[in-house]
Amino acid sequence: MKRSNRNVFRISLLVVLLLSFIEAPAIGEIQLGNYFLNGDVEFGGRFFADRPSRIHRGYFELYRDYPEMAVLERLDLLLRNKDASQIFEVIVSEPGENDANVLFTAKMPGLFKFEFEYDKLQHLYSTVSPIRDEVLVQWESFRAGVTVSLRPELDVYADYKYTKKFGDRPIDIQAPTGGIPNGYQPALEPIGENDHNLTAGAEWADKLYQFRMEYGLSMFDNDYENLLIPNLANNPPLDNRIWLAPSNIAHYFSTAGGVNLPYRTRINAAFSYGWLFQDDNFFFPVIGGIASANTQKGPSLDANSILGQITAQSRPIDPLTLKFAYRAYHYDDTGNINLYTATGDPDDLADLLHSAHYPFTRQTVSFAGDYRVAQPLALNFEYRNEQVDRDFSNGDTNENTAKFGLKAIPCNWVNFLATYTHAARDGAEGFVEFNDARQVTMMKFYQGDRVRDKFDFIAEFLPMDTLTFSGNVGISSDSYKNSTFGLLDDDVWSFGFDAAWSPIKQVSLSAGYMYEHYKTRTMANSTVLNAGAIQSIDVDNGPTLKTIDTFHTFNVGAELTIIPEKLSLSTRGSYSFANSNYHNARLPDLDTALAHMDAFLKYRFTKCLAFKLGYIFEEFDISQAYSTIYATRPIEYDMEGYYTDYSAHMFVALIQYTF
Amino acid sequence: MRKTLVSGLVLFVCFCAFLLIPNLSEPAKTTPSKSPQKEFAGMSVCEGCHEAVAKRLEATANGVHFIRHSATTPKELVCETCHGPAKDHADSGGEDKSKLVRFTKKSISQADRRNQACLQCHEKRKLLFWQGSVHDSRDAACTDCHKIHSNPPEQVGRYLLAAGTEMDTCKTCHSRQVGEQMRFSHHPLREGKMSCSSCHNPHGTATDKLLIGNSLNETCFTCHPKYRGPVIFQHPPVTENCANCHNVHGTAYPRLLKQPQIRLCRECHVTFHTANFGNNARLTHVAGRPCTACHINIHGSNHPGALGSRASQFRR
Repeated sequence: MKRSNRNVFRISLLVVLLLSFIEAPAIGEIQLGNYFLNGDVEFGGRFFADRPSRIHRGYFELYRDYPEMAVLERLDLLLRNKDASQIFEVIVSEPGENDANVLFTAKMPGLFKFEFEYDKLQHLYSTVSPIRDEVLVQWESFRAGVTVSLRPELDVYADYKYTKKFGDRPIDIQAPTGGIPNGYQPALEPIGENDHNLTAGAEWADKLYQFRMEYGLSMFDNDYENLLIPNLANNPPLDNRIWLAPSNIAHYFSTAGGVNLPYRTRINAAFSYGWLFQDDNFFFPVIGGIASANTQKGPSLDANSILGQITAQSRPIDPLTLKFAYRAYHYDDTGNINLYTATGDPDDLADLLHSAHYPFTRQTVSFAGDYRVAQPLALNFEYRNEQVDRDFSNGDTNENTAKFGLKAIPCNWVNFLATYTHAARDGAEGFVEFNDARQVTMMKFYQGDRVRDKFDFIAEFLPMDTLTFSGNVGISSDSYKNSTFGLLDDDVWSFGFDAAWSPIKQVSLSAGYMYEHYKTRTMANSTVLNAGAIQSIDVDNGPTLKTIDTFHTFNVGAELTIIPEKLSLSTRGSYSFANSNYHNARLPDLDTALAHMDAFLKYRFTKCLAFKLGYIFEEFDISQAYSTIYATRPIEYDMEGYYTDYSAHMFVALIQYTF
Repeated sequence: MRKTLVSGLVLFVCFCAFLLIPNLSEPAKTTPSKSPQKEFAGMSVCEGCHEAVAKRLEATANGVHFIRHSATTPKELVCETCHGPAKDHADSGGEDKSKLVRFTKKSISQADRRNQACLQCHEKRKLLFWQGSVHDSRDAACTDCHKIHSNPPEQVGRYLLAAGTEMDTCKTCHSRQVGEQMRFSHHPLREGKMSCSSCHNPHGTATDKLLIGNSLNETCFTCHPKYRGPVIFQHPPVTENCANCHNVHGTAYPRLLKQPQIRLCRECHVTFHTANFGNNARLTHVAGRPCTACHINIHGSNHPGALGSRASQFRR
């Protein structure tokens, strides 16, 4: 422990000791005029006994910020008047850190509610560069929302959220001629994204029917239009320029409603229309293989999405439930089929470019019935048809699905739930071959024939009020039976269990395990060299490529009351191990293992004052494929995913004050 | 398309016709009658035997509304607002439970009857699609996930969740999906910056899988609007479904990809050139971005590309 940390620790310990001698008031509300204040605050310090070094901490702090300092872990304040007709609440966690959150709520129940939220999140991509501490993108968002109940049945509401993302993201691009070996060039993509979201609507709800109308606006604005990446081979004319995501705007108009009818019948319906557009610049023209900096205003692009849905559910007699649903989703952007020329000259017809658009319509109809044969046994059946119509060289698919389910409660301490699904999809031929030898040949798995079988089983046992045990098994098989190439099979099976036991009031124990096995087979035909010559795949041990991913996940937990009303221990642990096997001598297995354990010992000095001491251990082990830094690669920036092993031992000392 | 539409309409008309058959049974009614004094015991009577339960309720948001802010009927009934008329129960010394709505897992009250108690007040916003939702159809009760009598925030989370956190609550039935967040590439769920309800509304929505958006893609665009487009050059599987390439619950590969890129892209692209696939870069093929290093704007681009005839290769 560093000297500064030792000092923080000593001060915290001293504060705790002093507080332990203070006779704290009994737990209860603090009166402030006509208002009463409740609250809960946890503050203290965070210390590392063993902290991963900068290079190793990348994955440890992927989404979390762990500065070694004094922390306000949580602050929860609730202020209300005598009849609770006015309520104010503030919840704060980890202010000043990169994953801070603040939520303020003011409400008059049944009349008015206002919320304001500030949230931060970090996404740490890499810490291995010798010249840069970290490559990360920081998310910061502000949200304000208000709901007003004009009548008990009528609410109007509005919600606005602004999210700013800033920082850098590691990318790789193809190196220009004369670049570094392997053709890759690491680079940093500047992130400066602004997202404004506004939702406003009104809702009517009474016993008979409910109805909602809503408008949503989403504006995405990218601070950066393009990125020029210097050629590391020091050959400026061959610098790389890439296009970054264009700014765009989307409007959504939606209505939804439901009505209650006789026979315990409910009909819901929803309709939504989305209008998406963007008119950002695009690069024009292209000079040789490298884009120049010249840009031209692009055409206004727009697209529409339409959703319509109706569901009806009825329970005409007590043991029977019937359900019908129809849903259609349509995405259309064919209003923008334009031709562009690579030279920027509209009269140059020698090199026409066709914008690529892929409208589709997805319709689903389903009919389901659930019949409770007797109190302990219920059967259900569902038939479903899904049809997807696609335009422009994309095939249509039609899928019929039958689903059978069983819910059995043989005695009041055992539940069984089992479902079996069989789906058959008739797809398009899906095989697309281009004349240009350098173009890809495709077998689109999501448009091809497919047979899907799926079985899920859950058993839950509650032999005593203090003991529960559940187990589950899942098997899923997707067979692309008529595919000659591309994805052939995608199979998954898994099983697991969870148990919770509280032998005495002071002890609660839990444990769980899950195993998952994923297997895919893909038929790869051949590889085409740049010159157009065809070469059989051998470097990847084709033509059939088998990938197997397996996952083991364990978890345990314990809640112990050591001295009633005084000393308690809360601990949980998890261990997950993943292995990916490519059945290829040249591709080594990928292994990752993550172990996490935390334990919090809580001592109550009084009903409202407690001291919490936490210990957090985490260890991460990842195969070399992610952590190898290639000698041939410049390491000024390094790639995403290049995380390294680490182990961390962290202590948290907190004072909890409840009032 | 037309065939599906017609068959759907026919089925719906049949369903509506079925509804016109004379009433076969009376729906369960849990709404208190207008003369509560006849059937209802009142909170003070309940408290006589269930003191600890009443005390816990007082500290909850519902308790505050029922007890301190009892401005509207039927909230003034407090316990009996949800549990139904309890006078017979009280008069029988606790023996007669026939008129009570009970909420424990072992109780014989059917889920939809229990849920009606909650729906008396909670029928707006996120609950609009509860009736007819997949959880409602499968007899899930509100109290399977929410613990009404517990005192937040220590025992339960902000939403009175039975298991404290959303993930632990959902895990009861969806353990595989919840377990996937332990994988190498994951959304920040286990770090507590997201939760299941960031993408799903378990109370019912207008989509499959109870997504909050109109489709999976529109759900993803909530946080990732940069991929929304429209753009001049589109990649069809991207336009149609993000899940064609990503498993959003967690995967073994960067960027939530279902497979390493060198194999994922081959699920569709059978034949391709060998550029940059020399033997000395094999590890990169697994962990890195062998395909998108060149096809960098794989989600779509406005850029015509490096060479005119290959505009849709997403290389700029």
